[in-house]
Amino acid sequence: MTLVNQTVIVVEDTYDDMQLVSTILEHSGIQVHVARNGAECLELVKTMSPAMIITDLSMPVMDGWTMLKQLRSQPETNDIPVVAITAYYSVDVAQDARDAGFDAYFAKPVSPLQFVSHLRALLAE
Amino acid sequence: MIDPSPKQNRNARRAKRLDIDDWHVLIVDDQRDNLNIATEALRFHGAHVQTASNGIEGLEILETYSPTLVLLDLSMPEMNGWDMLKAMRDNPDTQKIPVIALTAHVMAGDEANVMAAGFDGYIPKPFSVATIVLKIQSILAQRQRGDAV
Repeated sequence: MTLVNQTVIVVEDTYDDMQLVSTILEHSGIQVHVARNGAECLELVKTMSPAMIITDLSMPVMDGWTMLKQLRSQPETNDIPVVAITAYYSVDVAQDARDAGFDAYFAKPVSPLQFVSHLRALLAE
Repeated sequence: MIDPSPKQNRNARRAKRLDIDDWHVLIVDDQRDNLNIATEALRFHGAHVQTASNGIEGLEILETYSPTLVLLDLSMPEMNGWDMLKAMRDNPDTQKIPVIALTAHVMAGDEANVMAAGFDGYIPKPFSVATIVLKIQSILAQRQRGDAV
């Protein structure tokens, strides 16, 4: 499964993280949309069908956990793959993310090549 | 403990946004997707955005809105970007507003045509959320240097 020309929403409230993730994705030919929090992302998915959502967990207004719950509760959005990405690795958060139903969990720093190949594998599933 | 103060770091990183909170931007483009990406990127950094889907709508908005800059698609139905730019430059109220062309296919000669028409710069499509604001800032900085000469 190729990622080229796929649309992905990146949900991040910090500039550096948005910049990092969107640069990696855009270099792989992915069209990136950006939302600053879960609420903005839920608005975006009303107007588009992303191949995947990559989200920070802790954000103002609506965090990644709440957003995931909302996405999973709607038939139109419940099968969009949602990947969590956080600034610091935590075993507890990784477990919580799996339990909550995230399709994958990454912590920075991410290796661009590995990150993209993981996403590609996830889309192929 | 790898990092005792992630919260503090997070706030420091959040503060490091591009400083465009006082920008008011009018984006005129008939392609929803492009328009959305530009809007999201600008809003991410705190800018205020209005949108229109052709030149006629764009000119209507300018009757009551004085943006910091206009991002203008070239090929649109009703009224294209070339004609909207001309109308803006003919009107004393809007002639000094910076206008950046949004171009679908940048080919040899396109850049010269865009600059000759009076655009302040151009940004090729597809847009990148990672770089579009930086590109706009660099065009505006260049324009300011031009004014100073």
